[in-house]
Amino acid sequence: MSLFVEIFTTSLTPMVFLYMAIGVLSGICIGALPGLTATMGVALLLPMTFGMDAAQGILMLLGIYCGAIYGGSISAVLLHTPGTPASAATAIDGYALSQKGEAGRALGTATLSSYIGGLVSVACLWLISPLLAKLALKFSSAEFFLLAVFGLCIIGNISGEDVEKGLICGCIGVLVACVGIDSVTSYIRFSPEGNYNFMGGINYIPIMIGLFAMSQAFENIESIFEEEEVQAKLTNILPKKEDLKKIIRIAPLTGLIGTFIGIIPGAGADIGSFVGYNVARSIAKEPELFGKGSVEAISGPEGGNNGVTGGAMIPMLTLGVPGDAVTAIMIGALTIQGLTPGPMLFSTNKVLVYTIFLGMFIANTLMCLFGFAGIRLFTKVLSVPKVILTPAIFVLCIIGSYAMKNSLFDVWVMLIAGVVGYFLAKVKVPTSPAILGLILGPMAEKNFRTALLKSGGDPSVFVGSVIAWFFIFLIFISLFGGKIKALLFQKKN
Amino acid sequence: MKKITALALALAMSLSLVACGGGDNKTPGGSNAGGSGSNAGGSNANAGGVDLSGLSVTCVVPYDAGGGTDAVMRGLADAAKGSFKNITVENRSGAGGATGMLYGAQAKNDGSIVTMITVELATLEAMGNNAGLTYTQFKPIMMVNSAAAAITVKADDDRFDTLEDFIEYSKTNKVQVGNSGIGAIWHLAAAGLAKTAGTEFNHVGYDGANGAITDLLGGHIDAVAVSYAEVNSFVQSGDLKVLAVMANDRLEAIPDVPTCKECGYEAVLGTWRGLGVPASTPDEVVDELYRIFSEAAESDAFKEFMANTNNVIDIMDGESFNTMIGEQLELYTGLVEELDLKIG
Amino acid sequence: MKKGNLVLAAVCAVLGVGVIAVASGYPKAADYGTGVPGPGLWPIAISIVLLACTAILIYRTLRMNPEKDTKIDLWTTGTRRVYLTMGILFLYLLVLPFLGFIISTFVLELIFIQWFAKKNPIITVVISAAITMVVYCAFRFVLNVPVHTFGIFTI
Repeated sequence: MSLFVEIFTTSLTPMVFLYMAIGVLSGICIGALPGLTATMGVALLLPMTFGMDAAQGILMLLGIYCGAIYGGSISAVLLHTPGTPASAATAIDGYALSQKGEAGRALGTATLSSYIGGLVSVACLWLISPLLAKLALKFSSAEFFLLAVFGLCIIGNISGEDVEKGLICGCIGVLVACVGIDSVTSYIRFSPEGNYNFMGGINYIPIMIGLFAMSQAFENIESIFEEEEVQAKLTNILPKKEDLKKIIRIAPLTGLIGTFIGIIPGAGADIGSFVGYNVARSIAKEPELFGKGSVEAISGPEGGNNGVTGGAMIPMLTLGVPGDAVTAIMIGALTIQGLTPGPMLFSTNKVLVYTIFLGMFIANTLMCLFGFAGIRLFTKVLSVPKVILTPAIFVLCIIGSYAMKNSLFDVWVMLIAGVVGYFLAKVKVPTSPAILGLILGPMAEKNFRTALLKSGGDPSVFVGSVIAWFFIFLIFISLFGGKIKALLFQKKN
Repeated sequence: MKKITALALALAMSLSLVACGGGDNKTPGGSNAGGSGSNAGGSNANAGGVDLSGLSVTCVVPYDAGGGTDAVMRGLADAAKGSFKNITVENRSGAGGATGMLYGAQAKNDGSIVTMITVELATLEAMGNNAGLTYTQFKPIMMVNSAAAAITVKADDDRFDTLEDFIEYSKTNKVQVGNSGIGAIWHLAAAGLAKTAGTEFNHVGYDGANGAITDLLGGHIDAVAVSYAEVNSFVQSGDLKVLAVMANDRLEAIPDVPTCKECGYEAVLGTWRGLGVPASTPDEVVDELYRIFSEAAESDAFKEFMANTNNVIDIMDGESFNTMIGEQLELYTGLVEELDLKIG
Repeated sequence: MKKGNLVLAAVCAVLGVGVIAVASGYPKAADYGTGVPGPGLWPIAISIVLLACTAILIYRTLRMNPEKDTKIDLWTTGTRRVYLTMGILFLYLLVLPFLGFIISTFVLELIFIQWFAKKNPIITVVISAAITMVVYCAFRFVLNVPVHTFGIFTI
């Protein structure tokens, strides 16, 4: 108990609360803007922490992290523009619900699910982090490969009715990700001679902006002179009872799964949200509503991506190994303060560790409060006439894709992806599989080959550990689970 | 309404704080004035020395924000901020650093764009994936910091107590040495060591040093060759141990660890970072930039910053730095050819 | 829909075959001597999956119930407007490096808002200027994105 007294008197001062609130708010704004990811947000505000003490700095960064992962869902729901890749899965049903005039309901679900996901991960971080941390080191190339393959299997579940179209889109995504220098042999693939834009590989953020936001904006242009019949109903910001039931059934579970994904080094919130979507679909009461504006389909990925936040902190604090790109920067922030994350931190700086635990809980709470308080404000975006909103979205897409690497080449990539996405939508090809392919394709390929490199070409590495078998089992279930279920039910009947 | 006012207030506060923190970049049109100032400075160069205090300087980091190179640049920019009208750090990553360095090499030559040039300036050209980037496009201002490769293994690995054990073992067994990426400096450093020792390693490339270190901690590979700064925390916690460093002298932080030279392997390889401006920049401007940045690098604030981040300050003037880059290019070109790594 | 599916299938088939043709010329595993598949294996494997899916798509399209076949009209007033918009955006990107962000974006917004909203030109100018400046200032000064480093006015 004295530890808590110490925390509240020394490190959790009102000033720290203020910094955290600032962090969460800036995080939500950064996350909501397309092209600005949580990683970028944290990196952007990192220099500010140089002048603060360790607790202030790290808690502000934590606030940005939680806020940005949540903030991405706001633009995903309202404008079909995932602010960060972690909200790409939310955009599918969030926007569909928003189209029905229930943007408030969608945002309320997203906010509450994010909060629950965050809380579950903080609880794991607090209670069992040393236990879970060891898991992070059990992962090596073979396991990463199987995880990526499992992730790619999700394409089947986010493709809607025509699975083959989703797979086609996913394959194209994986192929686009092959462009540039191959990371295992450094051979240059599919690039025009000497063009360093292609050599470095095609960034997936501009493609995501193009496929989601730009193609949606093009579609809006088609009917720009028609009367807007959808008006946002804002009667139900707090989730109603039946929605609440669904959220409570799904968000804690996907939050927990997100936490595990966060622990795995190199797997971040984007993967967490897609896996969350997948899990939500398999346990949903109304899976037939998925893709058409289901509350369960928003709750799943939002619980999953915010679950990653606490999960990624686990190996960072206990081992000094980053759980994802954001925590890698946080390690940098701590080292600049002269602190070394890792097992030593628990013994030498217990107060700071528990301040971070408690701070993370507070950051999530602040995120939830700001979220609910802001829903009315956010949905004001929808009352902007389409004739002005659409040109504004064009500008945001352009500058958002430029901001990632300050490169005009990325803007071209975004525009071309937008045109392609527009025509793909015409032939009813779902575009989110392409994002999954772009994220997981390189992860699968690289780790497949690295695993073989380490084993000297022996393929038995892929069945050499318990975790590997676990993922093989998951892959099997996600490929044939539906058929087995159908078969069993048939027999019963 | 209250809520909205409160929100707007908090937001405004956060924005103003961001602006302060990002530092020095809040004067719109400021660089315009700075530009004319520098022109004036250029014209009265005969009067000996130029005044750059009216210049708005942008420091280009060819890597992502939050990385090691970014941290050093931000630390240095912070220490030098009093000497310019304002100074901002800008990240232009991509193509292993070529994107940002090409941008910097083709920038304005009035000293307003200073680029952090790194060892990749030599290795990318040696590898052949430089996309037209070469070191003669730059006039180096100074070297700021350097870090030698540290051959690191698990602390409880009984097979290796010294570098000799490691080399001898590698002659009869396959050892997996992790690095931060194929063709990156740490790969070349490990390959260079293997070459001098007459053995071969199995090089495993990761995306950045973090992945390699994590895999080493998990026992999935045998060793990593990365900078000491990157493994420092694990050495301190007793998870990893450094067998040798590929430097000229022992490192201050680990005085008990021998250099490769001492062990009989002539391998001195590692990374370095410095500042450069386009080759056509007038010498007076370069001299003034050298004065400002070397002063900043000597400041206590920067020294403390570098000590905290486990970076070694290693200052070298522009001319010797230029010669060194040339030598490094030759060295890596030879190494790449010998190892058959060339891709372009 | 039928036609659209077949066009999609044709594009994918060309892409798949093209990738296989290019990637089969890449170095093989034996060239590296480490037992690791070469850089061509993965693109080829994915292309095969792509071609298989394309085959399924063709099969299902040809067997599609004609009643389910909805027509895709790519030449209506709506879609023509979209093509014009795409054209304007391509032009915008072409002039962007020369005119810089502020001027080209302002003009872009001016064109679109006047075209779509048909408001009083003065209001259009005000709205366009506001959007341009808010975006510019937010990214340039708050988020530290260098949107000012190209074009004739590098302020």
